Formats: sequence, C-alpha cells, structure tokens
Amino acid sequence: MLCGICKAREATVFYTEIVAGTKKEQFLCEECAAKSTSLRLKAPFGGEEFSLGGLLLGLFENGGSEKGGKETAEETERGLSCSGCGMTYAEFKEKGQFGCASCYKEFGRLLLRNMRNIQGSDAHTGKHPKNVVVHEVQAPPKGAEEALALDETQRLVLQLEQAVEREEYELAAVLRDRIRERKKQKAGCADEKMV
Amino acid sequence: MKKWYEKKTEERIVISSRVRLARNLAEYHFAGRMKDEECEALAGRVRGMAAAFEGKEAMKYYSCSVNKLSELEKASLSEWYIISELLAKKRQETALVLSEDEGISIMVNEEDHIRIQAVAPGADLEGAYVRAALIDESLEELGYAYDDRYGYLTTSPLNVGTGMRASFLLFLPGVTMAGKIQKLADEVGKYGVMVRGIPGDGTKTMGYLYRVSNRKTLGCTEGEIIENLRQIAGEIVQQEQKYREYLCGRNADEIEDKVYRSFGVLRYAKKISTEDGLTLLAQLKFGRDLGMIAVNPELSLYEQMIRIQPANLQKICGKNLNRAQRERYRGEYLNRLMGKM
Repeated sequence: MLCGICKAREATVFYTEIVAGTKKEQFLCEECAAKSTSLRLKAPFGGEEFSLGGLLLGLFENGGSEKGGKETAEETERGLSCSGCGMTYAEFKEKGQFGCASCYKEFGRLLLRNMRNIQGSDAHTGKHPKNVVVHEVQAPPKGAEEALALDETQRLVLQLEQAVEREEYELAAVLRDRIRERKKQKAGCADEKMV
Repeated sequence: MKKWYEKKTEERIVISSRVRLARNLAEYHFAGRMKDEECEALAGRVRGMAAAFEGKEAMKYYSCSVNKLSELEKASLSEWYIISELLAKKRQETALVLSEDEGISIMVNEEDHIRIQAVAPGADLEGAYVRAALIDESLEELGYAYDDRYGYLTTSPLNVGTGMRASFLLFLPGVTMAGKIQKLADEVGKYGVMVRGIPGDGTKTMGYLYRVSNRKTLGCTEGEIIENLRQIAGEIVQQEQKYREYLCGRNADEIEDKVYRSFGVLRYAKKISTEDGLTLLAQLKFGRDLGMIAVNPELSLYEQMIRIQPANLQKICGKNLNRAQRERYRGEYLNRLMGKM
C-alpha cells in the first residue's frame, strides 16, 4: 500500500490520532509520518538510539494541539533547570540525555513515571562500587507521596504535566497560573536582593 | 597472542557474547557538556590505568587517542566492533584502551565517560561479564557517579542502573530464510530483548548476523540480565535449529545449490561488493554448518566477513582504494581465500 500523503513510498506506519474524540486513521511512509505527525521514528526498530526525548516531545505536542495546551507545555519546559550543569528540562526532553549526575536529582523525580515506563522499574538492584555505602532505598512512593519530596514549584510542574497528559486543560491552566505566580514571586525576591 | 575470535573453532549459531558497561565519573559533567581540557584529562587518566589492567589480566594492554587516528584506522576499528561509530566520529579527545586479545576494549569520552566492552567467543556471557567486572573494579577508583536509587548514572536514562548491555551475536540463516525474523523479534521483545541486524538497519542484515541484547538496565541485577538473555537466546537457537532442519528437509536441493553458487562466485568472480561478499560468505558458512560443503574448519568465516569490509580491506591491501578498486581487490582476495579451502 502506498503512503496516504506522498502517494509515492510504501506505507509502513499505521497512524491513529484521536483529537477531541475524533479518530483519524492514516497509512503513511516513515518520512511523511515524521513530517506530518508527532510520531518520532528515529530508530523504528527500538534500537539503542531510541530517544526518550522524542517520546516525551510527542506527548507534549499532542497536548499542544488543543488550545491552551501548548502554552502549558512550554511553561513546564521553562520551569526547571539543573543547578549542576544548567541544562533545562526542555533541553533534556529534546536530546533524551542528561547533562551531569545532578540532573538525575533535579529532573529524576519529575521523570519517575517515565523511568518506570521505559525501564519497568525505578530502583537499582544490581552491584555497586566498593567504596559506596549503600542506603536502603525506600519503595518508590506513588502519586501524591511521590510529589512530597519535591518543592512547591516542582510539585506544580508535575501536576501540570499529569493534567496535560490527561487532557484536563482547565486544571492545567489553573496550575500554569499558579506556577507563573510563584515564579513572579521568586523573581520579585531576587530583584529585592539585588537592590 | 591469539585474538578472541581465533581461539576456537567457529560456532554454528552463537558467534560471540559481549558485555558493555557504561560508567561516568562524578567529578565531570557528562560527555555532551565537557570542556576540551576535561576530555583530555579523563582520557589521560584512563589510559594511565593500562598497567593496572595488565596486572589483573596478565596480558598486554595498548592505548591510543582515537581522535588522532586516520579515518581509515578509525573505520577499521569500528568494523571490528572494537569502537563504536559514535566514538569514531567525535572531535574532542577520545581514547581507546585495548587488551592484546582484543577481548577488552575501553572507550573513553563516548556517550558516557567510560564504556567497558568485553567479548568472548561462543555462548559465554558469564566469561565476558567476569572480565568486564574486573576492569570495572579497577576503574571505580576514579570515583563513579553512583546514586542509591538509580545506580550507575549514565548520560541516557536508557542505560541507567546497571549500565549494562549484554548481547549475543547470532548467525540465523534458518530463521531469516523462513522469513520469521520480524516475528521472532516481536516475540522476544515482550521479554525485554532486542534483535538488530549486524551490520544493517533494523532487522535487515546482509550476512544473517543479529545482535540480541537486553533492553532494560534498571531494576534487575547483572546476573538476572545475563540469565534472562541466556534463556531467550537459548530459545532463539532452538528455533534456528528447527528452521535449519525444516529447510534441509524441504529445500535441501535449493540450499545446496545456493551454497555452491556462493562458493563459485567467491572463487571466480572478479568484482565483489561488500554486501555481496557478506551474503556469499554467510551462505557458505550456512553450507558448512549443515555439512553440505567442506570448508577448512579452522577458517573463521565470521572473521572474513569483517575483513572484507571497506576499511579493513584497504588495510590488507596497504593503500587507499576507491569503490571500484575495492570491489576488484575484494574479488581477488576472496578468490585466493577460496582457492586455499
């Protein structure tokens, strides 16, 4: 079967998109699928080059197709950066690579769910370097408890992400405003300090 | 000293076992954010440990700056799977520390600061892991980035935890000819195992060679990864044997014809492309495995599949060759090799 868009190449991707309850199905070739959909096919056969970045980006682009969604997604991306190397959360999502060991602490919790999705687990059970004293890792908390370890802004960003994922845009908008407000307050404090 | 691939008679199905460990040091940013001088310092530190590896393994270790090698040398190392294509492409300081038998290669400043790779002939993941772990033990003095929850921290979240990617290199002409590779890949994928054509793209391959590896690196111990992969690979080997028997029972004449045609082309054709060379050698190996054709059992056809690739071929010839010259020289080389059989 030929691709539904270019009508030249063989269709190898069956793409189903559900936007606002309307289901749209297409047979596409890889190139057209990459161009005209949010699907990322860097390594179609799950190779080692598989990019988590692409996966996350796809999630957010789907969210962004609705009014207000895009804005909230951008807000999420701007929300966090690593204090160790300066990498932003948005940059991480794009590349699928961390900038330094501290990124795991800064973004790691935000990514707990994704880590479970990709790795099927979120706690190491294998060997460790000899000079490392291993502390008992608590069973990973879920949902609200998971957010406890985050500061207020991080918690809001996580909730916002979940709301966008669930397509609850009204809630997302409220969360977005609260994040904005917190950031303004933070910026205000910083300005005062500078004076 | 013999190389790992020269050590014993070539296996029919499981060509080799490989373990790769991804490690990073706590004191530097990860590879993508390192300054040039940090790359140089790290490369120097790892190269400086070669003597320690020699003491542990009782064999010589060599090291070099990969970025200072010629493009041909880099391509050759990459064709032997001693270094990755990513390492070969990097502009910043990169290093390779290699054991005399080429069973251990340590890449510095690849996607992670350190990638330890251990290869053993045949089905011997444990053997490969023991060697990799020994080197790992020496290198951990450098101060690894390690986290109680996430284990060994890696640049990509896909490698975090054990940082371990274990794999078998399998020769699967039976499954390929039966058209069942994709189905097999889908099946084993459910158990967290990936199948990729080598060299190739996705499940496509030119020489019926596939790398079968673990997908997940977090939440399971190194032993569990090895055990799971061993079981799945065992299933794949059984399927391969089943398809070989089936093909021999049903299409023995066609397969025998194919094997001897391959031999004929390898023996007499004047120009042979890389792709053709790989496929023809693979068919010859298949014929030998099935007992259809007598090939010197000491000749590793897998090794020849690596030797006829563009960069290695130019190294054998001793000069740079363009594509047409390479095809001509590959023809001569393979004609000679088949003459000795």
